[in-house]
Amino acid sequence: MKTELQKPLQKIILIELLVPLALLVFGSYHGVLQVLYRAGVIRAAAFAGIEYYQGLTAHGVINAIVLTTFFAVALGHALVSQELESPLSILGAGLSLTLMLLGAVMAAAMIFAGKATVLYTFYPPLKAHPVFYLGLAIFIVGSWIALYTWVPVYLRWRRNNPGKKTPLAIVGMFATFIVWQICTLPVAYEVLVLLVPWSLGWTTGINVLLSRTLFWFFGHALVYFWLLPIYVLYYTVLPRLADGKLFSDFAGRFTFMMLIVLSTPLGLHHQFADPGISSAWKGMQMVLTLLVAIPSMLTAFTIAASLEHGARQRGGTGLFGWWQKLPFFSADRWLFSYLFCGLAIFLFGGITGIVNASYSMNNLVHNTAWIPAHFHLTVGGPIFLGILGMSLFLITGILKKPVLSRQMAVAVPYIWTSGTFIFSAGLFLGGVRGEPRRTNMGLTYLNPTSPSYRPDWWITTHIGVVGGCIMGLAVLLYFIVLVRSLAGSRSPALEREPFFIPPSELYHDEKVPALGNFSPWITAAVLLIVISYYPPISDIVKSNVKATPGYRPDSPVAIEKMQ
Amino acid sequence: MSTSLDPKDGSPPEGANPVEKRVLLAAVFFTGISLVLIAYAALGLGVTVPTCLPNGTVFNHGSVTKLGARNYEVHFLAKMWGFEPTHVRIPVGSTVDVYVTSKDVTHGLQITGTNVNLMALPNTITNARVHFDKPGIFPIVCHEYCGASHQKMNGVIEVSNQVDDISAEGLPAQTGKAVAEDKGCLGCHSEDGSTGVGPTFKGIWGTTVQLADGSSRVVDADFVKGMILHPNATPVKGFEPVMPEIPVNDEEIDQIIEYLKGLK
Repeated sequence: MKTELQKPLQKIILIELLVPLALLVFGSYHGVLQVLYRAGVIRAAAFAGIEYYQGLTAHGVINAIVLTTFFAVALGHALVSQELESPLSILGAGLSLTLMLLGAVMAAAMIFAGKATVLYTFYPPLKAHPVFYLGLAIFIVGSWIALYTWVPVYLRWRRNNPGKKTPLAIVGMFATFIVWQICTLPVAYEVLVLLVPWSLGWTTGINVLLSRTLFWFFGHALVYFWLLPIYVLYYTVLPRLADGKLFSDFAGRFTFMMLIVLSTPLGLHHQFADPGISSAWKGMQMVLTLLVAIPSMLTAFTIAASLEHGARQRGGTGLFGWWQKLPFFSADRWLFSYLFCGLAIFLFGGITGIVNASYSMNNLVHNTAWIPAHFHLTVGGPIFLGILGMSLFLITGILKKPVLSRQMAVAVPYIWTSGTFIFSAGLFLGGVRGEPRRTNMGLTYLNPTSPSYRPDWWITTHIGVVGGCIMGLAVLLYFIVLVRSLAGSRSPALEREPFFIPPSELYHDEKVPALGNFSPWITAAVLLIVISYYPPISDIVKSNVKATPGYRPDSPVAIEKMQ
Repeated sequence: MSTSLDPKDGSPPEGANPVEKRVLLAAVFFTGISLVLIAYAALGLGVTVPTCLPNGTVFNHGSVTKLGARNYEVHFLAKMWGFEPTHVRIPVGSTVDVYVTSKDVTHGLQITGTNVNLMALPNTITNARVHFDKPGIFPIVCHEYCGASHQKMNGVIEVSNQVDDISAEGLPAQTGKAVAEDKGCLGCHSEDGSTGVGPTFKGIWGTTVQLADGSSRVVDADFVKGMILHPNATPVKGFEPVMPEIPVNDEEIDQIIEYLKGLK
């Protein structure tokens, strides 16, 4: 019998889930506004006091950084403590929470004050307020401390359980944070060594190409950091929700270890169109990117097989007929719909990702609306739905409150999925017809009185409006469910039993000793990073590119005078 | 079949699962096919991504150059918030080498309907080659956020049956002429070689002028800039020191210099 999480850890987890969900109100509001601005429904530089690019920065930082990182930390706390049957250091978890809250508040304050309208990629030489950069750095350091509280617990567990397999959920959570630890080091260097002193005026000029390269060292591993906790849910929670067992334990371990190795040495695929980097290194990292398809396809197979096992337990038969027996609309299994819809969306997210990563094919879609269409099917699909569903599950579970309006809770992911598909269809089509991403198109391209007017973009941007509004509706319904459930009273039945995350049993086990240890995989990751990143970064440093002065987003006159 | 998921099979099989092995092999196979096709596109069809160019060749102004018949080089300077040149006209059947850099922040340059899709970064250049075999309007869009007026930043490549050679609008020499007209320079300095209140602009670039104090100076960027900012500090021999101080910024001076260079 599992024991309950320690009370203080429960509080920490609740804060780590509820704070970013509260911020998500702004994040989602600015998401809906984006589609309206893009289509020219709102034809202005600003709406309700917030400028377009400011709102876009808020949308990116809140939804893609703050929400996802808090969730990974909260889920990690719960799973590490539960699966390794050990309390966590409240000092460590509390320090981690404090730093993350402080950092998030600093960054958000600067964004809403209009002093950090540089988007979540913060490409210099656009210059933000130093507090924005510092806030992001403190936020990231806070998330590192979470990992440091888990490591001693894990090492102790290994000592006390010699020969025992590490629980799969733990392998997944550690893989998540090993990737995070590796990929955030260069961006921490970029922020603390390059950007903060420059933003404070202590240094003049910035190496734009070096900053971009350090950012993208982090920027694509970031997406695996978002994805890995959701893979943990797919491998450990989803099969049980379908009354099935995990088809293959090997697939899960193999996937997590492969992603430790492959998550980072592939960031150059975001820089295919950049100057100053040899196409040879771009090509090499393209190959490594495509290798990620192997664990991804294995995961798709394993999860489908696990669902099939569950469906057959529920009386499903036939080659395809078993699909009908899955608990798609079961109010009791409402969490199933969040994870399942995420999978359905991710199928398309993965395929379109292969398009982006395919070297010269990227020329067609680079920085067009195709790109946000793609990542709204990844971070906006399995990741967002997994976070929404699991947050509701954890919050209500810890508070011992039943989820109210369960039918509505089940409907949310389906509404979100239809909205996301419509939204992305508009942006995919617009993207291949040249619509740029990150652009307030309503002012010019979607404005009949502008010389830049593009009537051929009308239909695609308006498909985006329809999809975006449906996505907004889904989030609104989710918040109704969440607030109603929070306002409800505790259930005595739930209070009698300890709350824990139900892990699935194994259908098929297999001993692969090589997958029992993180060290060889971390070593391989570091080696591959050195091989694939040392030469291009050393080229950039040696090529002695002149430093560039900083610019405010509203003026073409440089802030600093260069010598 | 031992791999069936039918619950009646009882306990799960031990050891490596044959279906899983096949799935892994299939994944490796399909990934391999993708890689072969990508390599074929890049090496066989020549559709590739930009590589590293020497930074020494970074340019400060947009320009168009004829390399041969229907063979051109266009240098795009991306800046907050427009391209230089803004509009390029070329004949059908042209092959164009596009070079791009940025004067300030990060920009992007996509020529819609072609494979040209480049990032424009300050102090570095990048390039792509494109062939236009059909007439039409090919819009150029800045696709990277570059500040408050990013949405205004675009241009056009016009491929036409009506023209025999390349021409462009929005080049600094043309902008410089507009500045010279706007600031009133052309009221005293002619473009056609005739002497007015001041010396003519025609052919003046690079010549040596005699100053009133007996010294001589080459008409270069420093001299022009000095004349504009402090007109009567070094009067030219034979002309009255009556040139007014007209407020112009560094960029406008640059554009006037480009304009003078072109007045052969």
